Order: sequence, then structure tokens, then C-alpha cells
Amino acid sequence: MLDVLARFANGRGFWPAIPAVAFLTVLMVIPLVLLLSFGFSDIVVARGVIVSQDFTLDHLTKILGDRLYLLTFQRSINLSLSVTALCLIFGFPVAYLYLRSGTFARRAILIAVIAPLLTSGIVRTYAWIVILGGQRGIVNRTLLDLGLIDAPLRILNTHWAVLIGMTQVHLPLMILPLIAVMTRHDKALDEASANLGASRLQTLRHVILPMSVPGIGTGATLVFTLSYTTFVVPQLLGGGNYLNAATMAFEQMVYSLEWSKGAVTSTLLLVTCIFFIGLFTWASQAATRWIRQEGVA
Amino acid sequence: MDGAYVGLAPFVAIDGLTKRFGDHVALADCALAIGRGEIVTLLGPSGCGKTTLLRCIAGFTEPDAGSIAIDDADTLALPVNRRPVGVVFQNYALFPHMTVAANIGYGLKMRGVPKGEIDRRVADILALVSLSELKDRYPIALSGGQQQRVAVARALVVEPKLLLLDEAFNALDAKLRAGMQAELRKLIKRLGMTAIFVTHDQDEALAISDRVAVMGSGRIAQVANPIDIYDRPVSPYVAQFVGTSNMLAARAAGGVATLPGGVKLPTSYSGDVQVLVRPQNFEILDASDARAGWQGRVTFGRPAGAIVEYEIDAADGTSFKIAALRDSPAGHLSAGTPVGLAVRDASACVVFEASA
Ligand SMILES: Nc1ncnc2c1ncn2[C@@H]1O[C@H](COP(=O)(O)OP(=O)(O)OP(=O)(O)O)[C@@H](O)[C@H]1O
Ligand SMILES: [Mg+2]
Repeated sequence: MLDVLARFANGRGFWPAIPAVAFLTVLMVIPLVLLLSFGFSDIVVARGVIVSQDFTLDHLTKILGDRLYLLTFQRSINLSLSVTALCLIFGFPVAYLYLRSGTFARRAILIAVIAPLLTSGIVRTYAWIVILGGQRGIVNRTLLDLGLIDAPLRILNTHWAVLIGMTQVHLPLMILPLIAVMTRHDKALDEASANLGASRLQTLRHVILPMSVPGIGTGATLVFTLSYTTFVVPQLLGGGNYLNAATMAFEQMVYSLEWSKGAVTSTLLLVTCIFFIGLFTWASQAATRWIRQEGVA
Repeated sequence: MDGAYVGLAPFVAIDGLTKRFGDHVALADCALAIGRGEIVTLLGPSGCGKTTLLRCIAGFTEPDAGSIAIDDADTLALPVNRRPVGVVFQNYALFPHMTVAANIGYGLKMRGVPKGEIDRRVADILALVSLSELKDRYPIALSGGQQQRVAVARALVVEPKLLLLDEAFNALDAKLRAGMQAELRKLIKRLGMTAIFVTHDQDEALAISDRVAVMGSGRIAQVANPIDIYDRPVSPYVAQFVGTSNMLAARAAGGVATLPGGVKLPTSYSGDVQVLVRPQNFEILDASDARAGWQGRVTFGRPAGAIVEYEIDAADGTSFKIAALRDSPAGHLSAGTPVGLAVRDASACVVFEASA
């Protein structure tokens, strides 16, 4: 024990991380391992107590052979990638505006981006019900009043409502890492670019965008992870008939009490999510070789 | 004026250039004419407006009044990215996410030059600044001197009509600096490029330029070749900024200013005047020597290579800065030694109005 502590203390200064590591081990790693173990065992419960738990791959093979799961995971991945792309498309211009703004406008943008984070995602999702919902929703009423449509559009309780709501709820998580990058941006680089003949658009394309990749990577990871694993937004805006992988795991665990199935679904969710995080990280690293010294031939 | 631009229409003509930041006047009615192929240095203390002037030429800052013409074309009318001006930035502003070759090729790419030609021209300029082996490195993996050469190459490869360099040597250590100054001057001369350097280092200004423009609080105080700037400053400000100087109070009457020791200097002023005497224009004599105009004591002596720099305090409290050759009789005076001082060459003294 002592030598472990000694190694931590004079090694690389790990010791400040000990409380956090302990916290995560007790409250996250152990429950996670327990949960995952459910997916790979036959559980026999008698009078509320687990009496036997034998290893099996039955649940996994059953689920992997079920087309419903394939479709659900596909839907989840499509949705999360779309949300990530939309957040980037809407978020980058905001971050660019931030870069080009003066001190006052910068503060205003920052407040506008952070303020929604201070209200809970559930509240914001409910707000979308008011905006998108039925005949009386703001969108439909406006369109009807303007005479642009004859009958109310059905947006709420569809894929589109989930997409719109989730994009809005997660947008700040894309913008903030981008703003962090922009704050560090050296204006002299823009001047150098202009001096060398680049238009503003060319500077954006060849200097600012590639230098934002670390922020894009962080933002995409955050947005994708949250979009992929949330069941709140799909449940509220999808109206119960929108099934993504996270919703499925939630329902299996909480409503139908199929713990083993739920555990396998969760495991697949976790593994695929880690795969995508790895993909984003790899892409981001590949596009930022210049940050490290790998340019040395 | 002696060092003024002489020739046909100047290649770069700056006139009446004025820039205010709020109440602060950063540039006040600046005028500067530069000939084709000339290297001019803007020299002045921190905050005097050197960078502002450069930024107005490059188009990063919009002047409030005045005109800038390069090769007879109104430059102020052009947007930043169309000005025929190359800038080497103070910290080089290399694009960190591009290799050396990509940095240098950037300007050509923005101009739509075909890929093959970009490669060829980049290779040529890389050879010119001896950086060919480093072309695939990122700026983070370059030394300060290498970064500077990349910055220079990047600015030169697009063949600007005018090259601007803001404190281009600041990030380099003293030894490397002297080498790079000489090298860059040679390169610019070889290419026949016209260039404006900015610096607050007088040695750099004197070493690198054909003419020096001394600036003070938003104005150009004097433009002249390095020798005239030192020998014939037009104001006490210029005299004190360039080189070491002794400003001695004297009186003038009937077209002659007289210094102690009977030195007579022709002048158009009358009444109180100031006289500039450079450190090496004093002769250190024995305290008893009849030729001495001043009596004093050595406060300290500091050897600086082939010369010794003395500080000598006169009885009336005036402090003199004086240089003597180290292998002369006056080369080894210890502190406290009583000495007499005389001016060697009256024609090398400059007389200013006392109020100036
Ligand atoms: N954007 C700006 N806003 C307000 N004042 C400015 C701005 N840029 C420069 N100034 C002021 O104008 C004056 C001239 O600045 P400038 O940068 O041209 O000085 P400089 O001669 O280059 O000094 P240094 O040798 O320190 O670089 C300074 O007093 C500076 O504070
Ligand atoms: Mg400056």
C-alpha cells in the first residue's frame, strides 16, 4: 500500500485524482460491471434474491439475431449523427460570429449560449411540445394564419420533432468548445491570410475551420454521446412511438423488467458509443497532427 | 534636407497620414517617400506609432486622413487582400496547421496559381532561404530563426512590390540577430525589393537600412541615411534617440555659439542654445591642461570592446558621457581621477535652439 502511494506521490502526481477515481469506481464502474454481468448470465430469482447466475451468451445471440434491434440501433445512430451534423452546421456560424465580435457582443453571445443550459433539458423539451404541438402549437398556428398550409402539419410525435428538439437541447455543447477554440484564435493569422491574398471566406475555409478541429471534435463527441444515450427527448417529443436504443434499454429495464435483455441493449449501446467516440477522436487527431511535433521528418 | 528622397516620382509615397485612437493621436501628418529598391527603417520608442503606420500601409488599420501610393497606384483604395504588400509579422504569424511548404505556398494558392507552379516556386524560394530540408515540418518544430526565414519566404514568394517587417528580429537572440540582419539585407537587395523595417533598436536600424526614419509621438522627426541621422540630427529628440549624446547648454550671439574652452560654433540662433557633442568628440586631458574647457572627475569607466565609456562629472554637476580608445593614454583611468575635457572637432558639434 505504502509503495503504491509513494509511486503516486513522486511519480506523475496522480494523487489529486484519487478522490475522483474512488468516486467513479464505487458509483459507476461497479454498478456498470454488475449491470453488464446481467446481460451475460441466467439469473434465477427466488423471493427477491438472486439464487444463481450462470454465464450464458443466449441473450446476446437472441438480440443480435433480432431485426428489431438492428433497426433500432440504426435509427439511433442516424439520429445522433444527424443531430451532431446539425449542431455543427448551426453552431459553427455562432462561434464564427463570436470570433468576429467585439467584447460586448461576445458577452451577449456567451450568455445566449449558456442560458439554456441553466434550465433543465426536460423543461426545454416541454417547450418544444408547445411550439410544435398539434393545432395550437406556435408553428402550426403561424403557418395556418399565414395561409401557407390548410391543415396542421404533424411534427410532434415524429422523427422530426425528436431531431429538432435534440438539436436545440444539445446545441450549446457544440458551441462552447468551438468558442473555447475561437477565444484562443490569433487575429494575426487572419491578417496574415488576408495579406497573402485570401478573402474572408478563404480565410474561414483555410485557416479558421482547420484550426477549429479540436473544438469540433470535442463538441461532436459531447453531442453524439448525449444524443445517442438520451431517452428523455425521444420519449417526450417522439410521443411513445419513437423507439431508439436508449429508449428501448430504458423500457426493458423499467417497464418490462427484462433485466438481461436491458443489460445486453445497454452493453451494445455502450460499446457502439465508445466506437463512435473513438472514431471522432481518431479523425480529430488525424486532422491536428500539427499540434504535436509529428511534422518532424 | 540631406537624406531626403531624391529622384523621380517616389516608388512609395505616403503623405499626410493621420490616425487617431479616440483622443490619442497615433499618427500625426506623416509623410515618407521611398525609392524603388530602397530599404527604410522606422525607428522610434515604444508607442510612437511605428506599427500603426505599417498597419495602415498593409490595410489592417484604416487611417483617418492622408494618402498612400505604391508605384503610382492609390493603395488606400485597395482591400487588404489586393494590396501589393508583403508583411513579415512580429511573431511571424505562421499558420500552425500548415507545413513550411504549405505556409509558403499559401499566397500563391489564394491567387489561383496552378499546383505545379506553386510547387516549383515554393521549392525555389526554399532553396533561396536554405530551408529545403524543412519543407514538411510544422512551425511548432522550427527554431526561431527558421520560423523567421519561413515568414520572410512566405511574404516574398508572392512577389509584393513592398515588403513590411515589424520587429522582425525581436524573437531572435543577439548573435543570430546580427547574422539574420545581414543575410536579410543581402537577400532583399539581391531581389531588388523595396522594404520598410520597423524597430526600436537603433543598431538594427543603422545596420540594415539605406535610410532611417526616426519617429516620435506619431510624427516622423527625421528621414536620412544612417550617417546623417547620427552626425546631423535635426532635433535634440533625434540626437538623443540615436547613439549616445551630450547636450551642453551654451549662449549664442552674433551668429556664434561659444562653448567653454573657447570653442566657437557658427549658428543662426541667438540666446540660449543646446550643443550636441558625441562621446568620442571629447579629448580627455590632464586636469592642469590649459586647453581644457571643463574640469571633472571620472565617476566610472566601462570597457566596451575597443573603447572605454567613461562617465565624468564636472564640478558644476554636469555629467559627461565620453568614449576613449582603450589603447590610448586615456584608456585606463580609474574612478576619482581628476581630468580636463576639451572638444576635438568643432565642426562635428550640432547647435539646437534651447527650447527645441
Ligand atoms: N487598436 C488600438 N486602439 C487604441 N490605441 C491603439 C491601438 N493600436 C495602437 N494604439 C496606440 O497607438 C499608439 C501607437 O501604437 P503602435 O503600436 O503603432 O506603437 P509602436 O511604435 O509600434 O510601439 P512598439 O515599439 O511598442 O511596438 C500607442 O500609444 C498605442 O497605445
Ligand atoms: Mg509595434
